[in-house]
Amino acid sequence: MMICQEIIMKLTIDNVSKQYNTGTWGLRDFSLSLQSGILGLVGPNGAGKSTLMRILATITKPTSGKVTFDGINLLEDPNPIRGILGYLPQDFGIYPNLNAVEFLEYLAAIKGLEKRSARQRIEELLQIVNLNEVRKQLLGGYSGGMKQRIGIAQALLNDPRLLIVDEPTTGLDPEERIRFRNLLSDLSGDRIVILSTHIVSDIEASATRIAFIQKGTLLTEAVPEELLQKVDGKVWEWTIPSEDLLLIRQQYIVGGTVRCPDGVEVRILSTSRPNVKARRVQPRLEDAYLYLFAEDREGKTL
Amino acid sequence: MKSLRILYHIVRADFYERFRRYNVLIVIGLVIFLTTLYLPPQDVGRLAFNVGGYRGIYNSAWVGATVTVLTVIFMSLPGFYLVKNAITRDEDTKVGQIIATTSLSKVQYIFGKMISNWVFLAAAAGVGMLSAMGIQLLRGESLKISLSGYLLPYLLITLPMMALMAAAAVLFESIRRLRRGFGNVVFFFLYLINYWILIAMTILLLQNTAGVSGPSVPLIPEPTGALEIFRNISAAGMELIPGHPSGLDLGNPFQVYGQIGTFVWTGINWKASSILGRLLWVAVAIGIASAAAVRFDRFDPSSIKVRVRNKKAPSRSKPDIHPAQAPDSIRPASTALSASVRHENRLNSFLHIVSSELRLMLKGQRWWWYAAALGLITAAVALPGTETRQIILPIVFVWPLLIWSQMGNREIQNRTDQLVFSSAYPLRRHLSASWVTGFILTLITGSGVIIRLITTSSWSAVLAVVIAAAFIPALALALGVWSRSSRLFEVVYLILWTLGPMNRMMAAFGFPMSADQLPVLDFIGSSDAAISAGIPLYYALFTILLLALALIGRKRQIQV
Repeated sequence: MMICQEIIMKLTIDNVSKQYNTGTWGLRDFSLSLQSGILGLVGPNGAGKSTLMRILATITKPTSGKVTFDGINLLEDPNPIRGILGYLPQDFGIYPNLNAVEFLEYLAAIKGLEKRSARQRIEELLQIVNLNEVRKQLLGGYSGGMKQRIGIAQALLNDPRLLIVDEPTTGLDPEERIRFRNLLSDLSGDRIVILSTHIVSDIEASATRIAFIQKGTLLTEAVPEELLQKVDGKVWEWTIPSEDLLLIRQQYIVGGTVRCPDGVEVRILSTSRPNVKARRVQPRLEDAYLYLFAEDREGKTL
Repeated sequence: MKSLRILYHIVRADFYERFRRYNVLIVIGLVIFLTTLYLPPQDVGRLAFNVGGYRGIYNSAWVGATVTVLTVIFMSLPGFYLVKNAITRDEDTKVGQIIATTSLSKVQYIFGKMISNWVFLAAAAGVGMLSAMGIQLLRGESLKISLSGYLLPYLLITLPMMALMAAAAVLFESIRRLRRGFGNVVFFFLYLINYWILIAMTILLLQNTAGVSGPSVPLIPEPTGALEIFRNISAAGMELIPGHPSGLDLGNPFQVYGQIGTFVWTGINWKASSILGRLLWVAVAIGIASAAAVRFDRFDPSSIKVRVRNKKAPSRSKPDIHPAQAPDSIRPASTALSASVRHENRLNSFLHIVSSELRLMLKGQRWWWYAAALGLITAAVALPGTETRQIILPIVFVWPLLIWSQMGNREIQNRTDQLVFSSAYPLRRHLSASWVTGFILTLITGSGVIIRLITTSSWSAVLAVVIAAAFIPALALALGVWSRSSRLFEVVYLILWTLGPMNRMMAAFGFPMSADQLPVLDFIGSSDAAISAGIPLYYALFTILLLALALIGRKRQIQV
């Protein structure tokens, strides 16, 4: 059974928990509802992002809870979802003795794609990820960034309605990262894209919604503007002598430092003006991230 | 002092890593099971290790010798395969790259790994010895535990053999060509040759003991040390047992013999030359480890040879494309993607996967593999029917070993499991297509034999070959899925093939071993005895069972 593409897509994650054999919880009572657009899933390492991704990609079964895509329960009947799913895992391998075309043709066969349209799609994807020139070279000789691009291409093979990409910019250089973000934005129109990262700038411009996750639970989920409002008026910048930096770090959550001729320009989070010279600045998503996640906030002025 | 500390830490880390895995329990369980099996209670009438139907009473000397023979003959082979992963693990986990940047020398690293292999094997054998002590007390024929009865064979026979296995493992891992499946096959045949030498020497020894004229047993010690035990026991048998039998038999612990005679054996009479002979093998092990240190490439990825397919492409070592030469990047999505892709119907989709799997299986094989496969097909058609069946058929059914062994675990080994298992119908479509592909490949490599058998109207033999072509990929798939590695199938299949088809082949060449003893293992139906006994039909049933096992295993893998 294939899911009709015309209907409005809805992915519902309902009280999903995952406990591993070791007893540790990867996810706890996680609930979220999504429609078309890009969801940026942000959280520190070990927050449970990959666990959630694997559950949505039908690779891992949750301990409890329910996930439905357009009313179809992923746990009871995962195959219809797999037919419209594109998945780029955080850590994946390749077959070193195949070249790019052969590898993509193999995965197209596994995904049940018709041979001719798969070939056309592979041609287009190799152009997009710019591996056309090395299409006939064995993957065993590819660099890390090139392997990542092959991963991106395979995730898009079946024109997925649900695209799940886990830390997709790992191994890509800064320019590639920017272009990948743009590619995702172009693709996101009529599909659900879930992008997990711990690099906030990866989703700053492209995400239509952002979910912050920590220790397996959902901290907050909102449109970027709402998150920015949480720290609006709380971000300050001013220049301090270099020797005062340690003291500032002890007193405030520091969002960034820039060396300048007369000292260090610091960016901090604080509800009140920290210094007479401090000026209030526009918040960024990274400030909201710090505001929510800073672990060493105890004893600091906020 | 610093070197010793480094060695200690390498050994300790490996020891913990291995003993914290569940498969160590399987090894220990197997050792205890074999020990129990080979020391059957008096009243059940079963007999294992014996001299002309007599066995020693279960005192420490006899029990210690029995468990030592079992360990060096039956456990050293699996022991080798168990420890042949110390360097590969460091490479796969990338820990090796960290180690390579430290001041640790190649000699320190290789000897550290060799010693950790040795410690692991010695500990497993030690558990066997301890369990044997318990069994001695349980059987109650002699309640006196003599430590020398256990310790001396352990120290002088088991440990040198285990040192050899430990050193051989690091040597095989240090030579890239021998590091994985090919090395497993090479070692198996080396071990087999050594086993045949042991059998030949034992036959000579028994002839010498019985006073039959012929060549005497060479003075060169053999590596297992079992001959030392055989020499002492057969001499004691001649002296103590009525009728002075000289026959020495490892026995069949499943056979009921009825009344069993016993004699008191007090242990090995150790001579200085025997002890030196055993210590020589420790020196050989050190030599092998030294050779390994010379060959070890210190995890240098540039030593991995990546084959160049297109001669116009630049010559490569890994990574073959320098980042600076690599194509720029992901393009701005100016290149539009076509609106959608079509899905195939169920049958076409299945056939598409089968053809893709076949290409994947055959990819990476060298020209000589195809040349030999073609040669086997041609020889099978050209040779007379009997030779085809007895000689070509067994070879045909081992030649694709390293291709079969990838089945069921290729996705895990290459870390493509998340990509493959998140596709639709991974069981119905992918797993079944994998088996069908293996079946087709086996039929292709066996096509010469099948054609020859058809021309001689040997229809039951054709059926047996087709069943074998279904059985082998099913076995590979099941063992690959459950072990997540190619090694278990490589070892299990080689043992099965040696005891079954190869025995038949060797018998055809006039070797003194009868295949008819084990027609049950003739799974390819190379003998009429096996076919008339209906053995292929049992393997047809096994095939179904193995496919079910593979299905259950894969189902567990897909959603954990």
